[in-house]
Amino acid sequence: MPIGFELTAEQKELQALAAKFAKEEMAPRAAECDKKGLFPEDIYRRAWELGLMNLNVATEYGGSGLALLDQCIIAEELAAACGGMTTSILANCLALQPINLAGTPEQKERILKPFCADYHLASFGLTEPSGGSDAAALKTRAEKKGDHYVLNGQKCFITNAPQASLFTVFATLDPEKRDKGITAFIVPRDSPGLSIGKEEDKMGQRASSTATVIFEDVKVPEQNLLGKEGEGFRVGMMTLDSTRTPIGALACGIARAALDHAAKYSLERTSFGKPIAQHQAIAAKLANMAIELEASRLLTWRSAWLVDHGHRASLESSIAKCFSSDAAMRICDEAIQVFGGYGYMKDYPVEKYLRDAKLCQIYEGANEIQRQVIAREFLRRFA
Amino acid sequence: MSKAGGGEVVAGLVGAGLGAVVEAVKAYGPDRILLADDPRLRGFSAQAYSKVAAKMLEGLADPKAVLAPATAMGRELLPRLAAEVGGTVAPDATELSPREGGGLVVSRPIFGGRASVQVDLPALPCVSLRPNAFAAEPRPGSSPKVENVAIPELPAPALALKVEKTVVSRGDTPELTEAPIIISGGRGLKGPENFVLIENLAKVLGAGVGASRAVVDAGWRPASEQVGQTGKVVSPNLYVACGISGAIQHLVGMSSSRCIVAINKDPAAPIFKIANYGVVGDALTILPALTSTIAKSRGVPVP
Amino acid sequence: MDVIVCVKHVPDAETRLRAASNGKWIDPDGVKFTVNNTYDEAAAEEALRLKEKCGAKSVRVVTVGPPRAEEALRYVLSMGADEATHIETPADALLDPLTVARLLAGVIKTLPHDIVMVGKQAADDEAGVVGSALGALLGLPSYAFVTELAPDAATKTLKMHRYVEGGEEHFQGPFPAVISLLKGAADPRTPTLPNILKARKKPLTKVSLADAQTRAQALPGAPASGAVRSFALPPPKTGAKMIEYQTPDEAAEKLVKLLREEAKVL
Repeated sequence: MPIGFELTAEQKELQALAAKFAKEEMAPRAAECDKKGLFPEDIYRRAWELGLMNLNVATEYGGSGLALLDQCIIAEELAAACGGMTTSILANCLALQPINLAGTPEQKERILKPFCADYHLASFGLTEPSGGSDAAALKTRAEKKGDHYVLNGQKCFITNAPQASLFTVFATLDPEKRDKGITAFIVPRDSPGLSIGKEEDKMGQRASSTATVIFEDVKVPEQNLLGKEGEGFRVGMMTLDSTRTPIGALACGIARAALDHAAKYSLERTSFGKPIAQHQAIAAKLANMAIELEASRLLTWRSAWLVDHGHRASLESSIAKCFSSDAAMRICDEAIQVFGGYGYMKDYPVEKYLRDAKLCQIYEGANEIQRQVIAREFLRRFA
Repeated sequence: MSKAGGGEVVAGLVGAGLGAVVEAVKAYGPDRILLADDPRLRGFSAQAYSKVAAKMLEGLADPKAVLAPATAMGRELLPRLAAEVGGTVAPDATELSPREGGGLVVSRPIFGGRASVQVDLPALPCVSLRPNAFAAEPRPGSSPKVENVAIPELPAPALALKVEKTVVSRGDTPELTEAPIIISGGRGLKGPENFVLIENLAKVLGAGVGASRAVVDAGWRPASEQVGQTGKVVSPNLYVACGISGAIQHLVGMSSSRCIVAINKDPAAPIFKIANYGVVGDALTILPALTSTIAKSRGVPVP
Repeated sequence: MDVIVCVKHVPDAETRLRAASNGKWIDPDGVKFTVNNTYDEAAAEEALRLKEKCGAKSVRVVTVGPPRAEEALRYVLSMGADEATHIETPADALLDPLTVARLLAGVIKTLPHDIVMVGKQAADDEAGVVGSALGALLGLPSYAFVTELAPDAATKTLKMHRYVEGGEEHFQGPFPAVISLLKGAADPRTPTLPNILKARKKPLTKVSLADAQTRAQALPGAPASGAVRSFALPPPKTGAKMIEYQTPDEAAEKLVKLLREEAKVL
C-alpha cells in the first residue's frame, strides 16, 4: 500500500485500549500528581500489566513488539490524559532501545527477558550536566580494567532514575576521540558506586520523575558492553532517531487535550449573547489550533511510517518532533487564551498542558538541535 | 383508551396467594379479572408466567394489547410473551396512542433519556409502562367478575425455580453517574448542616446527592459528590439544582440532564437559563415542602 | 459447559446524538461505537469468569450488527472469549429487538450452549428484550436482572440473585438457560495489549443475514416486529418555566405536578 491513512482494525483496538486506560486510570489522577509532584507507581505498574510499557521490545523477550506507528498511536492517546505520566511510561522504550539495537541475543535473554517479565523501569543515561545537545563531548569516563570497565561521572535530567532498576549509559573511553570514543553499557541499579541525586522539581510533567545519576568507580562487566567499544555514539543516535517520533505523538496528545477542552468550553461559554465559539476571534483561534494539530499528526505518522518501512528518517523524525512540540506550545497557549481568566487558574487543566508541552521542545534533542539536523539533512541535497 | 374504543379492560393476575391483590385491582375498575392463583406460581418464572399469560390471551376473542408496569418483572415477562404469541414489544413506554390499522404507537425514552423514539407496534403490542408516566385512577363501586384460568402444563425448568429469600435493600444512595435522579446543593444552602434537606429529598426519591464546586471546596461535601467540569459529568432524568447559581463549570457537568429543576433566590441566576422548571425562592424553605409533598404522594414517611 | 455471550456494538455514552436524515435513528456519521456499554461488558466478564472459575469449556461471543460490529466481537475476544460469530446486517439496517432475538436464536440453536448470557439491555435502544425473548425462542428458562450467579454443574442448577423493586431475590433455577445480567461480580477486565494481538488469530465466523433468516424459520412462534416511526431529540432549552406561588407548599405541589404530568420524570 503506497499511502494510506485508514488505521488497521488492530491499530484501532490498540488505540481504544490506550484511550480507555488514559481516560479511566490516568486522567482522574493527573491533576493531583501534577500539583503534588507525585510519581504514580500504581498507574505505571498497571500500564505494564496492560502491555503498554515495553512497546518496542520484541515479543520473544516479553515486550509488545510494536511498530513505531503503533507506538505513536498509543503515545498520543496516553498523552491526551497526562504528558508527564506518558513520559514515564514511554521511558522504557527509550532506555531499552540501545539493547534492542545493539544487544547480543545473550544480553537480550539475560537482561531484557527478566526485565520485561515483571514491572520494571529503565532509564536512558546520555545527557550530562555540562550539556546534552553536544553528545559527542560527554565527560563520563569508562576505563577498561581486565574483564570489566569502570565508570565515573554524572548523568543529569534522567527520566525515572529514582525508580529505575536498569540504566543504559553512554561513557567515553577517550574524550580525545570525541564521538569515536563513546561506548554504551548496561548498568543495573544495584551496581556498587551508582547513586541517585536529588529529584528535580520541574515546571511540568510533574508525574514523571527526573534526577541525576552519579557513577563513582562503578564496575561494569564486559558482558554488559553494548555493541563494540566506540560504537556508543552511533547506538545513541540510532536510538534517538527511532524514539524522537513518539515525542511528536506525545506533543500531539497534549495539544489535542488542550484543543478539545478549548472547543468544548467555547461552545458552553457565552458572551454578548452567544457562545464564544461563534465570535470570529475565537473561531479563528480554534481553526488555527486544529490546523496545527492535524499537521503535527500527519508529520508524526509519516515519520513513523518511514521508519517502519525501513527508511532512514533523520530529517522527517526531526521535523515531526520539532514541529509537533512547537505547535503544541502554540495550541496550549491559545487554549488558555480561549478560557480567559479561568485558563490561568489551576482548577482548569489547560495551564498544565502548556507546562507539560514545554518539555517536548527540550528533551530528546532540543528543538535547536533538531533544526540543525533538519538544515544539515536538507542542505545535503544541494551540496 | 380501551373504554373510549368501546372495548373491554381485562386484568390478568398470575401468582400465588393473590387474594389481597385481587381486591386492590378491583378498585381500579377492570371489566373482568382473569386469575391464575396457584402455589406452583409462587416464585416469578418468566417461562411459567408467560405460558399462563398466553393461555389467558387464548381465551380472549380479540386482544388488542397487553400492558404491564415496567418493573423488573414486567420488563422480563412481556418480551417472552410477545415472542411466544407472535406479538410485538416495547418496554418502558411514556406515551401510548392507537395506531391506524390496528396496534399501538408507543413513545419511549432511549439513550439514557437523551432521545426518544416512537415505535409502531402492529401485531398484538406487549407494552410495559414507565412507572409514574401514567396516572392510575381508582373507579370506586365497580365489581368486576373474577374468572379462574386453568393453569396450562408448565415446563419442568419453570417448576424447578425456587425463591429462597428476598432481601430488602438498605436504601443506599445510588452512584452519582448512574442515578436516574440527582438532588444537588450549592452555596445557597448556607452551611453544611443544611444538606440534610438535600439528603431527605434524595431519600424519598431514591436519588443521588450532588454538590457544586463551591461547597466541595468549602469542605461542606466530599469531592465524590462534585458535579461539573472538574467533578463528575452526569445526565440523569431529573436534576434538581438547589441554591446553585450555575457557573459554567457546573453547567458543563449536568446540562445534558433530561429535565432540570432550579431552585434559587436570585431570579437572574444563570441556572434558570438551562433549567426546564424554575422556582425563585429559598432552597431552605422549598426543599422541605417538596420532600413532604413527594413523600405523602408516595405513601412513605416524611424524613 | 458451553457459554455464549451476546453483545451489541453501540454508540459511546459520550457521543453527541444527532438525528439521521430519515428521522428514524441517530446519524452514525462521526459516532464512536463501542462494546463498553455497562451491561454487555458485565455479561462478557461474567461469561469469562464462568470459564475461569467454574470450569466452563468455552466462551463464544455472538452479535447481530453491521460490519463495524466486528469490533465488539474482537473486543470480547481480546477480553478472553474463545470464538466469535457475527450475524452481519447491512450498515443501515434498523432491526427490532424481537427480530434480533430471532436471528440470534436461529444461530445459537445450532451451537453448543448451556448458558446464554446477555446484558440487561443495550445502551442505545435500552429495550432489554433479547434475553427473555431468546428464552422463549430457544425453549429455555430465562432469568433477568441477575446480579450474581453460581452454577452447579453436577445438578445443572444456578444459584442466583436478581433485582426486584425494593430489594433483591435469592433464587435458584435449572440450566441450560438464558441470563440477562444487571451487574456482574467483578468490574469488566480491560483487554491487555498482548491479548489484543492474540485475539486477531481467534476464529470469527460470519453468518449472512439471509442465512440467519433461514435458520430462524425453524423457530417456534410467528415472527412479528415493531418498527421505529420517528426519532426525536429533546428540544433545545429555552429558559425555565417559572413556578408562580404564594407558599412553599404550593410551589412544591405545582412543581411535582409538572414533573409528573408534563416532564414525566417522577
